[in-house]
Amino acid sequence: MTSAQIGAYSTGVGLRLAHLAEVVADRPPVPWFEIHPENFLGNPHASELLDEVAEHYPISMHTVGVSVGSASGIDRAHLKRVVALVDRVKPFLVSGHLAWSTHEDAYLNDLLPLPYDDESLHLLSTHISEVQDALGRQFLIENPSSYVAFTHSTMSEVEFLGELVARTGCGLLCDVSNIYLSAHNVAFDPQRYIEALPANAIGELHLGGFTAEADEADAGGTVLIDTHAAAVCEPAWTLYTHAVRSFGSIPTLIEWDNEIPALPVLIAEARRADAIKTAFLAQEERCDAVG
Amino acid sequence: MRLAELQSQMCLALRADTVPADLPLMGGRDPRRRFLIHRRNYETSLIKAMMQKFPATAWLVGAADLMEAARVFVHASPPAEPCISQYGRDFPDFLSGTSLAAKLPYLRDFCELEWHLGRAAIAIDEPPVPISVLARFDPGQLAGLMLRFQSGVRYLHAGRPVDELMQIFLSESAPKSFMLTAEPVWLEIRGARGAFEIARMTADEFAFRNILARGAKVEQAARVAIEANASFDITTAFSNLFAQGLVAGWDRQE
Repeated sequence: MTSAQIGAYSTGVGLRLAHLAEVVADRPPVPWFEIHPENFLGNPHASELLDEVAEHYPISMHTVGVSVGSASGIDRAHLKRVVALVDRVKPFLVSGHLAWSTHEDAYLNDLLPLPYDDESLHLLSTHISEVQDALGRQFLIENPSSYVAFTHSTMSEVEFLGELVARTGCGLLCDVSNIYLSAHNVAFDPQRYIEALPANAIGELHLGGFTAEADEADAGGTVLIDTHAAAVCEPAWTLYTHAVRSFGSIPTLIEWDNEIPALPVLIAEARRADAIKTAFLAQEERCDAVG
Repeated sequence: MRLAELQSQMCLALRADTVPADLPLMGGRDPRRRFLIHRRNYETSLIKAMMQKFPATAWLVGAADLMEAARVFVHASPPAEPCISQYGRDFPDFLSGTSLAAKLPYLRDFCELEWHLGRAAIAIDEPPVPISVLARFDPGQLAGLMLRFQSGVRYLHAGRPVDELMQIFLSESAPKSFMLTAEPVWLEIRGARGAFEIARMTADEFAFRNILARGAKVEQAARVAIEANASFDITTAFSNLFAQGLVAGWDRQE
C-alpha cells in the first residue's frame, strides 16, 4: 500500500507494546499504525502479535536503531533484521532519523545531534543509500529535536536535509513538533523552516508532545524536551496547520511514548489532525471552484 | 574537529560525569549544560528499562537502591544493540558485585531468575516434536542427537530457594517474616506468550536437561546426569522431554 492509498485524511497512531494486545483484540478505529521495529525484533511474542495487526492495518515502520549518522558505521546486523521485518510486515513507509545513536560497539539509546557540514553530508548520503539498497525502497529521514547545534556547521539543518534528498533520493519525515521544539531551543523561525523543506519529498508528518523545563544553560529561560509524554501543544497544532498548507494532506502520526494514555486519547488527537487536513482540503476545493 | 573524533568525545561525555570543554557546541549561554540533556536521556531511558525488567528485584532491595545500581550499570555496560528488550542480561552479575549483594547473598540468583522469567514470558512455543520421530533413528544414533529446546525454556541452579521468594512477590502476599534457608534448588523456567511457570527439579534431571538445552549431545548429557546420580534413569528422562513438549527440533552430528 502506498502512502497515497492510505488516504489524504488519515492520521495514524504510534503502536506501543502497552496497547498491542488491545489492538489485536478490539481492532480500534485507527487508519494505520506506526511501529518501532526495535520493540518487536527482540520480542517474539510481540512480533507474533504484530503479524496479526499487520493483517488488518497498514503499518509504517520507524526505526530508532539504524544509526545513519554514526561515523563508526551503521549497524549492518541490525539493518539486516529490520529488512527482514520490512519484508514480512510490508509497511507502506520506512523511516529513520537524522541522528546517530551507536558508537563502535555501544548503543547509546538516544538520538544524538550531528554537525551539518560536508563530512556529515557525505557520510549520511553513503549510509542512507546503503539502507535504501538493503530495503529496496525509499527511506524517509526525520528532522531531529535539537538542544544544541555545532559551531562548525556550514549549512542549516533544512539545507542539509535538502542536500540529502538531492543526493540519495530519500524522502523526508517532517516532525512538526520537533521543528517547534528545535526552533525554541536553538533559535530559528519554524515557519520558514517548513517553507524551505522540499515539499515533494515529504512522505509523513509527525506530531508529539514535549515538556518544558527550566533551562540550566540559560538562567530564567526554558528548554523544551522531546519527551513524547504529553498531548500535542497548541503552538504545534498551529505549526501543523502551516505544514498542511505547505505540503498538502500527508499521512500524519500521533506519537506518545511515555506516560502512555488510553488508546481513545490518541485517537482523539489523530482526529484533530484529520479535522485540520479536512478543513484545508475543503478550502482548496472552494478555491478551485472560485478559480 | 572530524566527525569520528567528535562522536567519540560525545560518547565519552554521555557516559562520564563531565562534558569536555572543547566540544564545539552552541545552544543557550552554556551549551555544555544543554548537552547534559542527552546524557540524562541516555541514563533515564535505560534506568527505566531496567526498572521495568526487574520489578521483583526492586521489591526485594528497594526501588531507590536498585535505581542507583542501575544508574551505575548503564554507564558501565551500555547496550550493545538497539533492541532494549535484550538489554540487562549482565545485570544479575553486576549486582552480585555491589554492596546490595553483601546484605543479600542470594540477590544474584533472584535477579537472574527474574531475568529468565522475563525472557520466557516473551517467547513463543513451536509445535513440539513427538517422540515418534525417534523411530527413524537406530538406537545407536540417538546418543549423537542434539535437541533444540523451546525458546522459552531456561534452567537456573540457585544456592537458596529463590523461587519461593519469587512466588511471594508474584502473589503480592508477603508474610510478616520469611526464612530463606541455605538449601540449593534446581529450577526449570518455562514460558510463552505472556505466561510462565517455575518448576523444581532434582539435581540429576537438571544436569541432564540443562546441558541438553545448551546444545550438548544426548550421550554427553547422559554422562553428566549419571555423574550426578549413578542410578539416573535416562530412558524415562529422555522420553519425558518429548512428553512435556520441551523439544522443538533436533540436529545430528555424524
